[in-house]
Amino acid sequence: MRLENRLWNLGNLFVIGLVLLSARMVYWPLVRGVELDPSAVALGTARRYSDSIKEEAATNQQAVDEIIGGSAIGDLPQPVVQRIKDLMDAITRGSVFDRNGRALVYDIEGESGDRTRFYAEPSLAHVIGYVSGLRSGVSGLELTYNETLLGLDRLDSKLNQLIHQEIQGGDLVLTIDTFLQRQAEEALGSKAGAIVVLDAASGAVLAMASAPGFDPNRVLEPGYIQGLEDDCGGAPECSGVFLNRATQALYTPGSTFKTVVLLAALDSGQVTPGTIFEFGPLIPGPQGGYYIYEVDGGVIPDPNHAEDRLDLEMSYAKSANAAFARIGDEMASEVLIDYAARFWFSAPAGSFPPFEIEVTPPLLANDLNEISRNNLLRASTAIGQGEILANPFALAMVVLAIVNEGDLPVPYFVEEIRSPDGDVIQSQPGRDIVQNLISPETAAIAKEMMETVVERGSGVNAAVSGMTVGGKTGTAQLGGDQLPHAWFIGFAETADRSVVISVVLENAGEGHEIAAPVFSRIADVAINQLGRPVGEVTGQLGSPQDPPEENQAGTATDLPVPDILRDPGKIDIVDGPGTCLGNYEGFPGSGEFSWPVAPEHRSLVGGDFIPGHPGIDLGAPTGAPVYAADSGVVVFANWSGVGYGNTVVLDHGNGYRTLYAHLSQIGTYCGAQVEAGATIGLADNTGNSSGPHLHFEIRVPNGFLNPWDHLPTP
Amino acid sequence: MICRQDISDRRIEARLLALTSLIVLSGFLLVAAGLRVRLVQNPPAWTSAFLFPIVFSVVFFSIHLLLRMRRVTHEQVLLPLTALVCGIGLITVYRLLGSAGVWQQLGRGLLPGLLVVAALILRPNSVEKIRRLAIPLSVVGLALSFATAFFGIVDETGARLALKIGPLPPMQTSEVLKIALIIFLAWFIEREGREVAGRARPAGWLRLPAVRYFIPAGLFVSMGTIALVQMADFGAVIILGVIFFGMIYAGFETRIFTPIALTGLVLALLVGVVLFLTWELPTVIRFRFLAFLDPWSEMMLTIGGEPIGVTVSQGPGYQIQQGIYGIIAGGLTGTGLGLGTPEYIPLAHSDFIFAAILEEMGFVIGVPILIVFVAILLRLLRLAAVLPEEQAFERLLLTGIAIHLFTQLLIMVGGTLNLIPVTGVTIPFLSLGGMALLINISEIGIAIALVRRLEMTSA
Repeated sequence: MRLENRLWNLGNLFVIGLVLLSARMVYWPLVRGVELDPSAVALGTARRYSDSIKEEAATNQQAVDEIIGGSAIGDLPQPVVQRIKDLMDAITRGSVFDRNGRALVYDIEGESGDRTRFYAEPSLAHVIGYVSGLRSGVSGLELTYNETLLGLDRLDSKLNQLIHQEIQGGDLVLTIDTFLQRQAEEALGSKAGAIVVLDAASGAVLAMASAPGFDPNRVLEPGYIQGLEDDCGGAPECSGVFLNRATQALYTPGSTFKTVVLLAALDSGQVTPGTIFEFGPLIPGPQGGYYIYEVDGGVIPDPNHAEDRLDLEMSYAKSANAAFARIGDEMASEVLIDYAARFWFSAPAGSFPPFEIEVTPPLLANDLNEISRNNLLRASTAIGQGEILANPFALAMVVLAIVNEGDLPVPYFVEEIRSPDGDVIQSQPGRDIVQNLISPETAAIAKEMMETVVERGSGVNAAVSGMTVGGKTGTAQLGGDQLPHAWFIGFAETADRSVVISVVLENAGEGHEIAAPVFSRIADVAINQLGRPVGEVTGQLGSPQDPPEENQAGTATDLPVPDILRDPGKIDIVDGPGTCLGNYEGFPGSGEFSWPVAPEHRSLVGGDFIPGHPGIDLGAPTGAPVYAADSGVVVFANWSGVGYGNTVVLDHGNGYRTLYAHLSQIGTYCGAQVEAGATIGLADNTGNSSGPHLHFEIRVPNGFLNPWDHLPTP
Repeated sequence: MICRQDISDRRIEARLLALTSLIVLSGFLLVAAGLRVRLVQNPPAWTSAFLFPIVFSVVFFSIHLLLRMRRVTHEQVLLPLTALVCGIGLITVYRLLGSAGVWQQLGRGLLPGLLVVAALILRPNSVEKIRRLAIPLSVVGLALSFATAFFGIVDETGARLALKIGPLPPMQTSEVLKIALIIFLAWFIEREGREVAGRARPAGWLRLPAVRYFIPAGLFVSMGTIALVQMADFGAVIILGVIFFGMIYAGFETRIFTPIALTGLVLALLVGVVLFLTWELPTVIRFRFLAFLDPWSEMMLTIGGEPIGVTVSQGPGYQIQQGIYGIIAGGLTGTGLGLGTPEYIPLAHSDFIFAAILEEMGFVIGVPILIVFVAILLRLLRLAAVLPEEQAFERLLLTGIAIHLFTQLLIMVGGTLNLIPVTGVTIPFLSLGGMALLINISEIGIAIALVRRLEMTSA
């Protein structure tokens, strides 16, 4: 029986060997799958390349195109990239909503199951970010919450992935108020700069505007970003469009930094509110002369006031450079460094909780030792000049700590993370609080002084009737013949609401002239918006204005479109297939129209406005975004049975409607409230069309208007 | 052991074969459909998706009918299990290479192999004649190997694995060498085993056999090894060694096996050390070992100290990476036939076929395939156990065959799963391969023929 025993042993060996193989087989997906999974590789790569995009953006546009487009995803071989693509194609990324439930970002599924990420609110491009060609987040919240949006942090998605089912990502509800955001964007106008609006009670970011911006729907277009920057020959107001100037830019803060110095001096007992500063002889000059502060052979000019002695409160209110240069000069360098670090200036790494989007920490000086050695540098730093650099976000946090009695509620963007079923998975994941940055007494004194600035100091332009406003102006001198950066940081509050706002406008002029009025305007809107119950959409549709004059080009009877009936009391009701039913309240139109296509597509390629063709055919190529010509509500969003292909109709609530036809993808939905300039779809040649173009109509109750008469000059 | 009342007309086998045919048919149809869903250019024609499963069923059912005609009643699972594994291999080859690959697999491996099986069933006593083939086949095997080593076709990795003789398709001659060694050792142990054991000198508990008995076998193995090293077929070297030690283990008691194994190990170590000191490790082995340690390594590869501009992850690691990505993409249920991307895996149709199977069919098929292999192997061992003791040659032959199949499976699936360094051998029954498949199927044929002969003698 010797051989039988041997065979028995061999049999056992075979079984053990194959069990080992099975174990190894399961090992790869279950143990190593987490790190080697194509999705994990995609996430890692996205993270790795988000930084290099920022670096490359200025110099190498082609590299950016390749990285975002996913054609050069690092050193990964093409098959790996393909596997990642395959995986990503099975995922519907979660949507992003504003605090009122307005959809800001969502996936649109094409006919062949391909998905396109759609950004309805390009003004939030710097906050929300955008995704790469592989549909993985590259920047902003799209990057920070990449796994959440892809659903890969949920167990049920993991299981779905295991059995190759489609995955639905989680949704984000932001603290952003879109109406306020648009107002902030508008307030910046054509200037480069940034505005941060925070809810002072919680730290929630209500708006964060950064100009110049970009359209995330178009970042994948080769040369798009370069085109934006080339448009004005590299002037600051159109360079660095990827940069979120609110959080990532570094500007000389100017006098706004006196607020930090004030806090340091008060909190450390160096000065009291009653401290009097006397200023030396007046140096004669063109506008009545100025005072100076001399230190170590250097001279700091103080042209901000005429008085030869001021107490601390009025020195701050009038932004007296000589007073603060003296405070800085006399302040122990450790005290300055310590208090600056409390507000994150040159703070040691990790001393602040992580923020939800990319933030560049502000800088006190290039070399902190120099602050102790060089009295002139310290004095200059104390008035916000010298080597000091900051961004509106960092300075907003200073004000936030003052308003909150010395505690800092860390600004956050995400109110809720929701599962695809709408259940709240997590609330305010980025919320945090840093305690006792300064004593409550110091905070209270500083707050009062900030109010004085607006009452009778340099910030009178920031006042808003009906609310308590405090703040600090700043005018960052840049040297040479550059105009200074205009700053204003401050707060506005009523009995139950308060907001903190920080404004910077690049090379725009004096803070009190330029930035303070912007603050005032935004503060008014922000307090109002904060008073609305969450979920209420801003702007009620009024009754139709006087119907605009009818154009003879067409009449209502020969409409080759879905029968759109008008309810004179309210707004359009669209009747027929594709009709939108439901709530039609939303943004009212302004009555002025903007172009529905990008500048380079604003030429006629097909029919002009003639009888029988009640619109104009604009030369938008396939895939070019189509923008809402005015704010309004979607009353039709579907395939049109009468040759228009995929069609969107907006009712602007003021008697006008606009129609956009032959789209490849409809980027909006029935009842959606869209604001002027929001992307509502992509152009194509669907329906009865001989080539890619956008058919655009402006309608009134009785017919059509010639769009050429109502659009701005191309 | 053999139960008479089992079955009379091989009903179980018929049913299992019918089931296998159904699985193969659905596999082919799913491949054809899946490739169309993926909008692949030139998907295989629907007719081929029906034709090949029919050919497959017909040939296996022919063997089944042959067994019934010859009134063989036992061993009803070996054939269907083999058919199942062959069928899954065929589906995967169809998925990756289309009809051309299937024709090659059928024409050069499966059909000739089944002809050998049919011949063995018709004349079960021909197994006797195999014994007489031991010496000639060994000589032929060695001669072919040396011929390949010097005149073979050089493949893209620089190895010479196949020999082309006249109009015949290229032959992987190392397969002949493996089966020759199995037959040679079975013959040798049967003939000399008793004498070796009887004349062994006691040394404590151990018993040392006389060296001269092992000169023929040792000569065979070392000659074969030299030829295979020259061919750069290191997988076959390992298989040859494992077959040698495995069969010695099966053929002798521990007291004799241990000194032989120890001597072998010491000799191998000595040779290894000498080689290590005097002879640079062949590039292929060094690269594959580096790739085994970390397929993702960014280390630059060198030849003779000179960097060749390729990192481990771009070179030898790439295949393993792709295999692993495929396995992860497949997960539990696989991506579905025709719906994955196993074409990214280099050599997915031969060496790395198991990765391709796991990608598109998942563990739910991958683990059962291994279980089927275990069943086949245990079935062979069981047959070896029930054969009468005087048929030592046949018993050792079956043992050797089981060891051969197991080693080949372990080495290649282990390589695919990065459990051991990759060596370029095929997976029995699954991989695309002419000579290898022919010999693997013939080995199963030997087992079935032995069952028939056993029934004939005991009837």
